[in-house]
Amino acid sequence: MSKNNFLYISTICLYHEDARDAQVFDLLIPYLQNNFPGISVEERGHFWSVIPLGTGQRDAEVERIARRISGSKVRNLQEPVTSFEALSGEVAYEAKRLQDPRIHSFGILYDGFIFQSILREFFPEEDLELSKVHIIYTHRLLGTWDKNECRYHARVSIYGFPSVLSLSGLVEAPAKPREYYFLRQRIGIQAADHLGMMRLRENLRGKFLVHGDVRLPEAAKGYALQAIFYQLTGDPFCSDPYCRLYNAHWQEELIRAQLESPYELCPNHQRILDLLGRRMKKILREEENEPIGDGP
Amino acid sequence: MEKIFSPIGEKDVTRAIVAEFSRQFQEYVESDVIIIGAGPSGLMAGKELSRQGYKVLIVEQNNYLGGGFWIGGYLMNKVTVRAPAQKFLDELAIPYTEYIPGLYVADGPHACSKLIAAACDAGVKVVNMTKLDDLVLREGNRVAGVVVNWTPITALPREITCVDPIALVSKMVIDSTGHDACLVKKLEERGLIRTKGFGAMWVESSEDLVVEHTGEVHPGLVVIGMAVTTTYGLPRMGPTFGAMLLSGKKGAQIVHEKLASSGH
Repeated sequence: MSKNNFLYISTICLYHEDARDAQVFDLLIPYLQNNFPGISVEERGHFWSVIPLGTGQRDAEVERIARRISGSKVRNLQEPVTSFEALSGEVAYEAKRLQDPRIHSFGILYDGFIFQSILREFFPEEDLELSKVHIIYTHRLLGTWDKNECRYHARVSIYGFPSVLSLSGLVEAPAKPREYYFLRQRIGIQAADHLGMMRLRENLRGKFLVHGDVRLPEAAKGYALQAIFYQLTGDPFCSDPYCRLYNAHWQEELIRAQLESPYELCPNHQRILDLLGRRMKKILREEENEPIGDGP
Repeated sequence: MEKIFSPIGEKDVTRAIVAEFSRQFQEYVESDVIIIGAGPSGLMAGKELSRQGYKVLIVEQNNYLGGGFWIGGYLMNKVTVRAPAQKFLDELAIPYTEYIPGLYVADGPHACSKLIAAACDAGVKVVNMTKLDDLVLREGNRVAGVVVNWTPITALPREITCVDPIALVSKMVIDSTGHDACLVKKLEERGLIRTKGFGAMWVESSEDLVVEHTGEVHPGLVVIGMAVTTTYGLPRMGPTFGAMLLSGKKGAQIVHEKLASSGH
């Protein structure tokens, strides 16, 4: 049995961008350890502190990264992100955010693939292995450009190397119940006021996730599975609406797949998970039997 | 029968108005800080800076001050703030109730009038019915004042009025003109800056974003309040007064640091 075979991962590395997102890991780590026995699950902490930001020129490096992140902001939902000179205030905000994981503000839409490519360049060589799954949790809202509709769509996740999962995206990306939009339109743009929004949420209690929702960590579990399946098989999604891998476009679908489903994975994906477990056990046994040292 | 009021003639009343307006106006042709827009963030910034001893002039295009702080959403005159912004209500002695933990509700007229009074008590001077026409730029395109005109003049066709505006100068200028971001737009007209417009409107936005982005956007110009959202392309927000008050306070702090570092 070779480690290079299909269906092999050795390590799942988890990072967060905002300190409060680390709470997600309290549920997620035992969940992943249980589902992927034999695979190491590492909590690597604040992404920007784990990844070296240059030596001796930290301030300049922080500003360079901040400028690149500012450049990934979506300026116009109807236009793909193009080169745009960031304002000094934007760069200053991003620089502060890189260095202070307590900053937890949300609402800006970033181009998900550009943001992912910025993250990618900070992985050290020893982490550039397909046997390692890197998942970064963020509060940034990420979007991808839809060529057919010629507009941006908010996304929960951007899968690849690394995979980026947005907790704001869990709230904002899957569409809320239709009544939400009708009611909000009736109240008008001023619905952004606290009392108006509270009434709206009260009327539709539980039907969609909200910022700070206690259900977010549980919902985030399934998206970690999707990231891992993407790396294992190239396909993160499942057509079964009750499977954790279901690609939810509506909050109702997200809640059904992630919070209310009678099972975790559909039989097909559960089989893949079991197969992976068996292969991992075999690889571990082989490793245990390997002679120590360089041999005779 | 004895008269209640002293026997002052119309001409004395007119002289009093003209003389006092002229005296104050002449004094404030040059000030430390000019704030354009007398909404909650502008009033808060003005109050804070005046308390620190700066000479502050607020320019307001309407007759009334307070901007949208008189009413909350949907024309209902209750204003809400989220913790920790209730401490500003405490500071201004504005009565409020805790609607749910962390959310506080006050009467709009009471809150707004108290804020206006606090700014005036601190020493802020106001020219109302006065509209921004342009910016005064100095070496290196540093913002060093504003060009203004009477609001009614700007409302009339130029061929009828033909009234030139006048300039007021200051060490720093604050843009608190709300979603219009009038001063930032003037910089944009000159090609000195490119604003971002509004972010995604369906998205719920963190109030922190406005406060976090409050700051000097161009040498000499600090942007606060809702003008921040237009400048940086943040999601358009409703009446989030906590962020407005906090942004005003942060803007004042930034202006103070800039002036202090330059020896003022």
